[in-house]
Amino acid sequence: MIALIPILPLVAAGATALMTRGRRGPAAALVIAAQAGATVLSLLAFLQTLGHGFQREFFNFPWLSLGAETLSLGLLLDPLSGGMVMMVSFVSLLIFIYSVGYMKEDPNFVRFFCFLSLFSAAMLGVVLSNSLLLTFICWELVGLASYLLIGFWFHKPSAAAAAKKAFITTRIGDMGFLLGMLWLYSASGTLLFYDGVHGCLEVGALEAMAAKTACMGLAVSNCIALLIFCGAAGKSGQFPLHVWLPDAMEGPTPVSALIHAATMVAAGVYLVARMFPLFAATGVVSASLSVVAWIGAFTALFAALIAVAQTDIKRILAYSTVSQLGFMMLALGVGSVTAAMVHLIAHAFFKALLFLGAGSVIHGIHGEQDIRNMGGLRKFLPVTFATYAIGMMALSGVPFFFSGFWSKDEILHVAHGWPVSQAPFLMAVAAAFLTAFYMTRQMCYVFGGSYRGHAHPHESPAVMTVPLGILAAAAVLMSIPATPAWPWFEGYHTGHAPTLNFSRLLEPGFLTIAGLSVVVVSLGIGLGYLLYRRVGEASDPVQNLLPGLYRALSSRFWVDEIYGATVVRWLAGLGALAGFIERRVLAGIVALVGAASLVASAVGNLFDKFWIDLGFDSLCGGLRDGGDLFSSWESGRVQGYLRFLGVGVVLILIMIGWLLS
Amino acid sequence: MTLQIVLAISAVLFALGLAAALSRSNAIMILIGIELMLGAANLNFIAFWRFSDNPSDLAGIMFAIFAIAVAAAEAAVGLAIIILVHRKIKSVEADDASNLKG
Amino acid sequence: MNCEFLKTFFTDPMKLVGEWFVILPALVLLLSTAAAVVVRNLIHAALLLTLSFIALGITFIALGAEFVGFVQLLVYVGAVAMIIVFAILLTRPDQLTKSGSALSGIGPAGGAAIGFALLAALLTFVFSSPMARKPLPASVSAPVAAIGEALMGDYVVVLIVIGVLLTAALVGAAVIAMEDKP
Repeated sequence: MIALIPILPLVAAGATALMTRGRRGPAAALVIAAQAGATVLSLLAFLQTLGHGFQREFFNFPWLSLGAETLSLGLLLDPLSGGMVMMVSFVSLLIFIYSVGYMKEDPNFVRFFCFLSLFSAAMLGVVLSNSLLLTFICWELVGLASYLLIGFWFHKPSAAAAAKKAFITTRIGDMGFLLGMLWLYSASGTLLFYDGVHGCLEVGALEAMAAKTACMGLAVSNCIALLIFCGAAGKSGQFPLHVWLPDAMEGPTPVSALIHAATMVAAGVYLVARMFPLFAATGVVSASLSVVAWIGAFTALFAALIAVAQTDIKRILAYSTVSQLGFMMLALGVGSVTAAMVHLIAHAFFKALLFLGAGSVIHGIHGEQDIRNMGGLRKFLPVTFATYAIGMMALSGVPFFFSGFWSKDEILHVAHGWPVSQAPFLMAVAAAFLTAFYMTRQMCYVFGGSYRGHAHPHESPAVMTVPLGILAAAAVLMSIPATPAWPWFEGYHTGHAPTLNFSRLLEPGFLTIAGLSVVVVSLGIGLGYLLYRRVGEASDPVQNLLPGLYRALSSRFWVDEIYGATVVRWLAGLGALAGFIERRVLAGIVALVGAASLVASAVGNLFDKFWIDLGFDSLCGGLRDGGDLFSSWESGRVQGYLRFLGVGVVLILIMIGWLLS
Repeated sequence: MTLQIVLAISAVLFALGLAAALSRSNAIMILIGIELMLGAANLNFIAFWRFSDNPSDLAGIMFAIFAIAVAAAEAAVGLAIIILVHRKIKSVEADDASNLKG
Repeated sequence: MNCEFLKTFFTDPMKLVGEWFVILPALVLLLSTAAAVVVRNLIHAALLLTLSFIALGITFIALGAEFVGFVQLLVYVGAVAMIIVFAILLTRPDQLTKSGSALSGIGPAGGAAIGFALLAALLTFVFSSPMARKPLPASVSAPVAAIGEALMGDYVVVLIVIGVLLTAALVGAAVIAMEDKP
């Protein structure tokens, strides 16, 4: 039955692909109905995983047999995928509904819904897959859908370029994923995650892979895990492959919310969580997990810094997404799948909320995205303001009532307990401070002060604000199962029944971290409010205080420029080198051969002139006459020749038959 | 099932390809006809391999693979030529490209 | 879902449907090819041709040559059909003006006549040869590993030559179709 979850949207995508442009109503209805069906099925699957003593369920089938080898695909339902599939289908459903309002005036409405549905199918496939191969297939489909959706307004050159960039950048990571997959297959002989006892994530295969050493003392399992992490880093926008994610904001806003905030970018985190047994095959402090932790922590801090100096409302949220994904990777790297998944799901809700809120703002002021031209929108868009504020507080980690606080706190807690180093923990704390700071800055710019733009702002229709309300409620309600007082997620993932115990809130270890994060968040919000209380002047307060730093931040640490100057330049240089070899070395040889043949022909020429020409001239005369005769047969029509050939073949066949008989 | 059936199928396919190449005037259709004839030849290779007494000798398979590669190259160059000719004489009718007429 | 069925379907299709597994795709192959040869509209012809390529690939698979079948699908359906469609689209404008003269000098009759003559000759051979009445040997397969070893072993020179040929064709096609420099 779980197979139906991805198949429903897939069928809807196929059916919409065949519809004409004008059938907007049926297309949207079909896609939303299919997604609603998938959501209901996901809910059933999720409830099934909630049952007491639930064992992971999977079913596999052979897909392709090449001689003795058989590649199998399969689907898997366990608490990890159960929770995720619920989140993905639910958020997708809300965003689909929202899109009806947002894309109302677009001429390519039907195409948009077709792509959305394709995306949803592929994403659900990634989540439910029980085979790395199926994951990879769906993974690439997700990438394709993302490419199509980022470049949805392909007549805009920047959108087309952003789509290309997203595709190529993630492809670099996917190359690693593919290599890791091939290596995993050769090392364990299967790509199924769980298959009784033969799966590649089960004890036997893991021990075998952990015992072998590949190179530089790294176990095979760690090498494979690192290669797979390349793919995850590409998809989840981890440094140094994060450059595509902010540019991806060229797509329509519901796409940014769905793909580049809530679901697709979380696929990388989910993949690492799914493959966690492989990453941890040599212990919870393995080399591969350390890399994940360091990259995660660095990305969290790095992206949060950049977000401080951006002026495009969606770009701020994009860098914030990169930063939050860094948090999740950090949690995985220090060994806590639960903390990462809690944050993933909580983040999906409030980040989708923020993006849809931003979309509502953009929609309300007719396509303006620069926060310097906004301001005072609190009065014009009250519903959007209220929900956006909830999202902002959840993201910043305002204490107690918002999911972001508890989930981020959990990550800080596990990072603090990492035996290798405290640096990632400190980086995460700094990133948390910056998060609160830049979100406050954004709120002040967008909703505070007085309106600085020109268009007339208006509130969005109900089809857009209702999903906002639902997501806002989810962002708050998610704090209930995420508190340490009732460690529901912990129990869900490990299979123990959670107990309600408020005394856990008072444990000293927890209290210090929680206290620290409260202080950090209040500092961030306070400082942000202090600096940006009265925005509206020409320049940014941070720009006035620290102009050099602001310049570095607003140009995103020149990462794009560095890539342009290095990777792109290297390739161009390589091409130039090949061209040089071609022109100088090979051309020299060719010239030499040419000269030699010239000498030879000069000798031959002398011989010709005085000896052969005599007889030749008379022969030529005869030939020319014959040529005239034959040239009249040459019609210049290819088919005429072909026809003679055909007749000839038939004649030869008949002759052979006659000779044989 | 005997070898005859497969060979007959391949013969029909070949004749169809030949007929297409001979009677359609569009150069693209001629190329398509040639592709069909190559496909028929491949089908024969595979059939003879399948019905041979020594299937571990992979010559038939190999020949089919190489024929596919050559056919792909042929299609690419052929279509490039057609596009070039179209650009020069604004036509893809094979009979219009008769500059080599004697 | 019935896993046993799927397993048989992918590993030993002959057992499941007998010789129909070969004959059905072959019928699709012949019908779609005939239609492709006959229809006037070039785009329709290209699409029918794609169908016939697919059917040919499936026929290969049904005959036990899985690797060749997949290569056929990849190369023909993925690449050749695609560039044929591209060529049709790139040369489209004059199809609209010249749609009337879709047949060449001797008309369909001449081509068909030669085709039929050839078909008759071939079929005479096919049905008269004693060798062709050979029954189907037991299920055989060409493992990909063996094909790979053969490609890298006995046929390595051919493989390299084919590689050179493909490179030359790639560069040649690009050069031929390149816009003339002003």
